Amino acid sequence: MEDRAGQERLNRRTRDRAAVLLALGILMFLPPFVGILSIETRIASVPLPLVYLFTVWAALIWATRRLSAQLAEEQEDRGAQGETGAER
Amino acid sequence: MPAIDLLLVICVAYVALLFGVAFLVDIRARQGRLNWLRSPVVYTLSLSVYCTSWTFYGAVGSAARNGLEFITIYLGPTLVFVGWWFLLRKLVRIGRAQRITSIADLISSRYGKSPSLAVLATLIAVCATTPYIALQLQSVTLSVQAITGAGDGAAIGFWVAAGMALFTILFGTRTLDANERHHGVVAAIAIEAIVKLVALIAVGIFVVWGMAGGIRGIFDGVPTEQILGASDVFGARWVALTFLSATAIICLPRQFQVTVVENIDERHLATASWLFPLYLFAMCLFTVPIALMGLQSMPEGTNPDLYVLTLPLAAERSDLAMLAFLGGFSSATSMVIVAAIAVSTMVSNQIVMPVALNFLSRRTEVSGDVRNLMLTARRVSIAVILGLGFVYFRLTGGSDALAAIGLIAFAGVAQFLPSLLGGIFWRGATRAGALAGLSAGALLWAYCLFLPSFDGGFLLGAATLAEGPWGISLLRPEGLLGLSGLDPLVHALIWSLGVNTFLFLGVSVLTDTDPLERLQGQQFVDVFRASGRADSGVEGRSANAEDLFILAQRILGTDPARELFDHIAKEQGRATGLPSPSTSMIARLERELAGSIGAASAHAMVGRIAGQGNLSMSELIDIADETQALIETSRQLAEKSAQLARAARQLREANERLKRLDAQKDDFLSQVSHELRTPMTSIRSFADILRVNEGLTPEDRARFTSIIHAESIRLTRLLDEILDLSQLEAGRQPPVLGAVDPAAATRDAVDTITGLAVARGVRIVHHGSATQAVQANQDRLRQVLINLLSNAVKYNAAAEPVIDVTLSERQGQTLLDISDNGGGVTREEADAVFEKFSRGGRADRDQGAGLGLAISRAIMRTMGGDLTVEFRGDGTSFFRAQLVQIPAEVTPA
Repeated sequence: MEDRAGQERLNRRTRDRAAVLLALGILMFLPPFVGILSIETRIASVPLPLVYLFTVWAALIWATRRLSAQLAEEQEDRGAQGETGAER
Repeated sequence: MPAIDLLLVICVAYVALLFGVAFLVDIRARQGRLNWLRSPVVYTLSLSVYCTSWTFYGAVGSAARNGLEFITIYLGPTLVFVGWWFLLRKLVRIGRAQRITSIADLISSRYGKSPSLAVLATLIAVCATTPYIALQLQSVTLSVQAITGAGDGAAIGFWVAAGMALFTILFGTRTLDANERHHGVVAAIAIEAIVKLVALIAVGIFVVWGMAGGIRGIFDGVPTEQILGASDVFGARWVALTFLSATAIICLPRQFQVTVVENIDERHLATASWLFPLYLFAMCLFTVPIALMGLQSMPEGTNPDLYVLTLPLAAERSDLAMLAFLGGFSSATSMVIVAAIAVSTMVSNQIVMPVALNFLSRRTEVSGDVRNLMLTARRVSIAVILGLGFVYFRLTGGSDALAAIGLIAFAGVAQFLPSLLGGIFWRGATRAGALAGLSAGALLWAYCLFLPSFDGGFLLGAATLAEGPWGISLLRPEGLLGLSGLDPLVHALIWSLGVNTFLFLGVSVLTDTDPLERLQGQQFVDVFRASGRADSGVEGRSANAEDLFILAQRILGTDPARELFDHIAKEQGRATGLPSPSTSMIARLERELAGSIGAASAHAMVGRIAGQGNLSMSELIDIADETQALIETSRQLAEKSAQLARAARQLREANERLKRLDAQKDDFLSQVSHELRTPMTSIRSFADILRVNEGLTPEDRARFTSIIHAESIRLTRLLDEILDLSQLEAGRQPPVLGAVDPAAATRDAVDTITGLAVARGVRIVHHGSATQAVQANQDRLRQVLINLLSNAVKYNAAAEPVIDVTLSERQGQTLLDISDNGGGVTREEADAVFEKFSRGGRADRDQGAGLGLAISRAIMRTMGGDLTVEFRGDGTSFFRAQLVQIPAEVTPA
């Protein structure tokens, strides 16, 4: 039982992280935050807003990849337990 | 420039290759050898059907015209996949559990298998898909024109449409799969996904490093404002487009097809959640450079939508141009194939089949071949859908930018969103709400966006568009009720989705659901609570006695179900096997099940298996499981409340015992003080006499001193006894137990008491015997026996006093009964004699403190035995000491 409780806590933390990541993605991709860095500065001659968008995008993909691996494990767990618990 | 013949040959060869792949994969799938095809990468690549020629050609065009705006079309899906755990996972689970075949099927299933909703959703899907297919026709036509320089767009468009229809019919309707899965098509689309990605990146690399000489060559000298586009690029339209694209990745019929229907393993979503956004990322990486390069180097008036193609052509790299053409062709064909398959499935399943079945069932003599009918219906609807696309392409004149056409389609399918999300997260959503929301949303979309897109060429004239119908400017399609100053897309979105959502919610809270709707609602919203038995694969339509038996087992339990079916089979005259599902048998079963789950549910379930309903077996089992879970929950609740009641009663009892103990303690204290007081008083008064009276005779003095001495001894003994008793009762210093011979112990005690007995003329008689050793402490047992015997001697007032000591053995116990002819105790006194400071009615005042029996009982209990007062038939009493025997094998020799 101890193990299950610990696992459940870990799973909830992973799910919470996924929700926060989603919220962060929405925040960064929508105005007003998407419009930050709209200044005439360039990195290797690429305008800053373009760098911002693609960097955030790449970071989001990287973070999702990390989280998805953990969530997939949880999915596996649930499959094994018949998934009877309440699910929100 | 390559000739059109060569292009045709290459296209046909490419299609033949894809067809070959699809064919081989279908063969492997039928043999059950899917292996690498079951990989999450193939699943992710098939999702890339999202990237149509709108992405391949149109994104660059959009970037050239509107700057960064194009990227919103890929940010929305990225966000949906980042949040896959919350929405997509549930959609896929529901799709598998309910064996959903299309988004129209999902919506109608959720709202109680409503046929009207299914038809409405199918119509919306057809309408919204039409511009999208037109977009593909347009892009392929434009690209053919660009490469070959051929002039007649209409002719090319027609042949492209015809070719794609043939292609799709060959691909998608060769077989009928119960789950509407097309493994071959998915494999072909995965290959096309790779082709279009490779082509776009190849063109991008060529443009950046081959033409511009590096990244600096692209960006240097271009003002940031031009790259960003309009100054308010991050405004309302940005939000609307991101939202629309997020909606589209869920609601587009073809996306639903590849994401949900074609999903063979839920775990693939976990990989797709990052790999698909990564694919989109890669598709977008070179969009801005290609657009900027096109703007810089191509002559004025070149269609920016075709930069991907015309830039290599201008650089005289026809090989690269051909690759780009194949990439665009792949984007278009994959979209058309999947969209046409998805929409034709809807049309055949939701519109043609219900009508046909109705028609056939009325004329029972006609045995229609349902399979052929289905395939024909699908082939015809594929042709019709592509025909509609072609008509749209012709009517709009093929002049619009690709992105604008795509957005019309997005806004159309976005109308599904309220009913879809409401349906899977909110039990309160009703059919009436979904119908009202969907129809109002679709009408407003058509009026504000779809019809205006013909630029006055269809239904709404140019004058109506400019001034509103009949000159009523309040009804102007792009400024409804005076809401103006908005981008037409944002305007249409606000009206259609706003009214849609409001009506959906409002009507839902005002209307009620029917039982089937409630059942389905629960199945959808609580899909993760039901145990995952999504793949049992028994078709509802082919249900038989065995299915009914399985259902009965779920509800009644295995043995009762077996008994019931055996009984029915016997009545039908069958010696073995299951009964045939006759009408009477079904009615009987329904009655039996109604006892467990209620008449309505039983009727619905049995009706669905036995009748022509299309709920599948696994769903019915899920319903049964749900019911079982409910029964189990209420049983647990009842148990819990019983436990609570028990605990409360125990608490009450414990409380009363505590009160009693408290009273006993007070009693005990007052008795102890009383008992101590008597000898103390006597000691004090004699001591006073000795102190005050000088002239006492030595004899008197000696007598008084000996009285004081005797009283002191009595006091000490009393205190010893109280101490002894309290230690025994508290369990401190438990006596060391060993094997004791009960007969020897009895003899020893009797010998000790003999002196006293002889003095009082009491005769002690032995009866019986005991050989088995008992568990006891030698000294303590002796103390108890002497106490009992001396009581019997002291308090015996008979003329010829006799004490009987009887040993016997019974069920692992040795009994030692001590009785006398002195009258014994009455039944009323039986319990009281063991209380502290109690003396039997026949004891007189000075003969002990009344702790002896209490101590004796405490000793017996610490040794595992007991001391009780027993009564014979004639009402006379005796003391019985029970001792626990030590089993023979461990008895020390």
